[in-house]
Amino acid sequence: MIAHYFKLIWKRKGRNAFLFVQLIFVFWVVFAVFSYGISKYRYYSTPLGFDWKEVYRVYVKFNTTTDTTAGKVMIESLKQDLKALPEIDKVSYSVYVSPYLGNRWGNGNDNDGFSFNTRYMYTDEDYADVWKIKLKSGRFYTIEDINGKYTPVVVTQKFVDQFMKDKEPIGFRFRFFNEMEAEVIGIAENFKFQGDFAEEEPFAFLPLTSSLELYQALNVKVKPGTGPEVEKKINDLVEKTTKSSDFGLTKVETARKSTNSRTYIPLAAMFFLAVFLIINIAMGLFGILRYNIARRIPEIGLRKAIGASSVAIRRQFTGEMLVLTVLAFIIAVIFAAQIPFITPLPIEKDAYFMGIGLGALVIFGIVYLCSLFPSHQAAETLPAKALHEE
Amino acid sequence: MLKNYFKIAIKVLRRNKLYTFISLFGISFTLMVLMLASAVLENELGGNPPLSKRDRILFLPSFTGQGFQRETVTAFDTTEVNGVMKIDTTVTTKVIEGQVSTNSSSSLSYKLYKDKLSKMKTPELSSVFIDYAPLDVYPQGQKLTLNGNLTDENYWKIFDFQFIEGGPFTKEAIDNQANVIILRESAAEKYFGKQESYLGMELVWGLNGPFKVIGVVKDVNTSNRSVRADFFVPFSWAGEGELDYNRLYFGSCVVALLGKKPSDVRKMEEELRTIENNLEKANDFDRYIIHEKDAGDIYAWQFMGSQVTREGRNFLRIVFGVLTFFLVIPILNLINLNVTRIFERSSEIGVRKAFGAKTGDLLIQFLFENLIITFLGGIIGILLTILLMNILNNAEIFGVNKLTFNLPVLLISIFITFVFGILSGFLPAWRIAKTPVAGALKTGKL
Repeated sequence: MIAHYFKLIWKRKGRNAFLFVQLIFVFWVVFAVFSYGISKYRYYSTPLGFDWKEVYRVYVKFNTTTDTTAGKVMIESLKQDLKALPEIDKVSYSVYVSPYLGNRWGNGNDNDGFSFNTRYMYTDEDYADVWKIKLKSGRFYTIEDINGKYTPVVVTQKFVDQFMKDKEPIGFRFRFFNEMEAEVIGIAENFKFQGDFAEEEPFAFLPLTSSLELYQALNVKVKPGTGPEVEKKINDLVEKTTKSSDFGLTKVETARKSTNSRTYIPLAAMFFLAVFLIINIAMGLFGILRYNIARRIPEIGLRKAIGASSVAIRRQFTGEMLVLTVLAFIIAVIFAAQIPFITPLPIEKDAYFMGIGLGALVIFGIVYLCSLFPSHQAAETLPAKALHEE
Repeated sequence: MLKNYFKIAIKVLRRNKLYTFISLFGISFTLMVLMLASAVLENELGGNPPLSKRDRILFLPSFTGQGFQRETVTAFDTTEVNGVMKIDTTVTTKVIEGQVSTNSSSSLSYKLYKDKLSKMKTPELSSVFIDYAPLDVYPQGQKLTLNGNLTDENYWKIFDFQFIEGGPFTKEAIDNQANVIILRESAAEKYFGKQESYLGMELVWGLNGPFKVIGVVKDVNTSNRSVRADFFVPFSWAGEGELDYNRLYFGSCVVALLGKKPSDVRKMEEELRTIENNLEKANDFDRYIIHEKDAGDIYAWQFMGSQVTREGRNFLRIVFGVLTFFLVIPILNLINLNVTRIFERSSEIGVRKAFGAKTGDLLIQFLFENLIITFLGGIIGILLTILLMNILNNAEIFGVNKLTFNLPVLLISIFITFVFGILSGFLPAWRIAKTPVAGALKTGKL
């Protein structure tokens, strides 16, 4: 049966060639768009591990040339003054690494047989409260922890999964920097700080040390329902305390929007183009099929006259289309499947192959739907009329 | 004759509405996408003010210092002094050329500009500015974030901003650290509310106090950071850190160089190489690199490459590659549709050929018909493009940059339409024209 369709397609190869090439191209476009979409969607559906709502981030720069004690007093009093504002819930200091910011610090080491490579940041003890970071086990560090011999760190589950598979994480001690011994005291569930569409990386929270240069950002959680008026209050307070206008306030929600738009605008554009190409193909197919079938009326009439049923006729036309699509799919896949072995893909391999699968499904579905109506028309042809035309 | 072809083409279009719709849909959407892409590129790279002289401008946004690996060599030397063996040890540090061990990058320092770059011979003009100075203001209790640019007086000669009112900074204003400010139209409107004139009004720039507006410039439609600030203030307001000579070559300044003619760009690059090599080595840096970029490279930098690479050309190559690939599918579709429909016209072809029409005549006729439908699609495409541009501009997809459908975009669109028409029409027309007379007359029904 299928061999017979091959023969029919081959007989009309001149006419099918364009359709064939066109299908191959569309397969490629659809593979690319779907695999990119799937990869982004999978990142999006993993949990963030923090809550960005009602959080403001203030980039601050304390004049570090002033002596440390005065500096420390200034830093502490700014925090207390902010907390005293009625709209403000919680305040925390950290380095200028933050969700949806784009900055990242990394450190890797393989001292003493323990090898790791992680993103990290310094925060004070209130950071987990401001961002509502959920801990899986253990606890977040407090002021009392900081003066011990070992620096307390909180790592994410991803860190544990990647580097401490066969170890008991809580209480584990390792050298984070050459001159810094760390002890894991807590495990956070997730911390996908680079954005909703980013891949989660291993992460470690370290306590802010006495070095004033590391007090680079204020994280301010306001009470629910607070309007934008609070921005001016924070602005004035920071300006008054630091005696400088060299700082910047951002609502994390705004940063989130702009970070995410960098993913979903190109994604939306790609889908828009893919949908347009698919519609284009679908209409082209529909038109060509209708035309071809109209021209093959005598053939249909003859088949019907010698006893073929409507179902058989319908199956012949959709079958022919599907065989042609399968051929195009095979050629497209032969090329597409090579790509991961030639160049490193920007997305994971399994997302890529899922994209190929899903893309193929969509194209097959559309080809089938497009061939349904014209072949139905063909199947309904009355043999007498068809033969008469001849 | 063309009038006849036109009449026939319209008749054919009206004969089969479904096919006409399919063709027009494909053509108009394809052309819309291409027109939109060319509008974006034209806005960014088309040499519009303030970047009219873009082919003569080089930007120097970043600077790298590299330190090479060092090897300590201890040499022993024995000499006999008065019958006693004496050992001399000399410790020398050998620099391993090319083995980079430290790499530091940042923008340029004012010292680098003042001592070296401002003294360059090839450029006609050079300018130093700091293009990142964010400021939060609260004009009506609502936060408004403005980005500032601290400029010198040459800046306004290199970049031809269009002034709605007022004018650029004078040398005196820069030297005396005057409290004057130039605003971009949309920023002025947001800060002061819509006014007839903004001249003489005052904007408070943080702790630096109030600044008097002396000029308002038209909004720019490029994403180039060097020119898209909301407000401009004299360069002398830069913090001590930027002007401090102790920081040597690393700072936060950007330098722009303007050549006398486009071919000077190459010479400026060569002169920069000489300057790099002659910079005095300090702080364990053995090699300095000034990274120069043209406007195209600066635009491409947002999407690919790093501060070291110049990707302007590559970026355009990729964009054109993707657009061509995108164009292939609708063209194939249209060819396919047209080729399948040849037989609709076989009787007409047969008759015309029988009466002596040559293959060439028919080829021209069918190409012309295809061009007519492509141009119809093109007109719809232009309308769709303008509609989509409005939607995108209102949704601020490109930020404050507004897409505009101007004359260059229109000309590019017409060109694209023409190419599309020829490409999609040639093969079908050729096939039609080649149809043998006898066959055409036999199968055709009149």
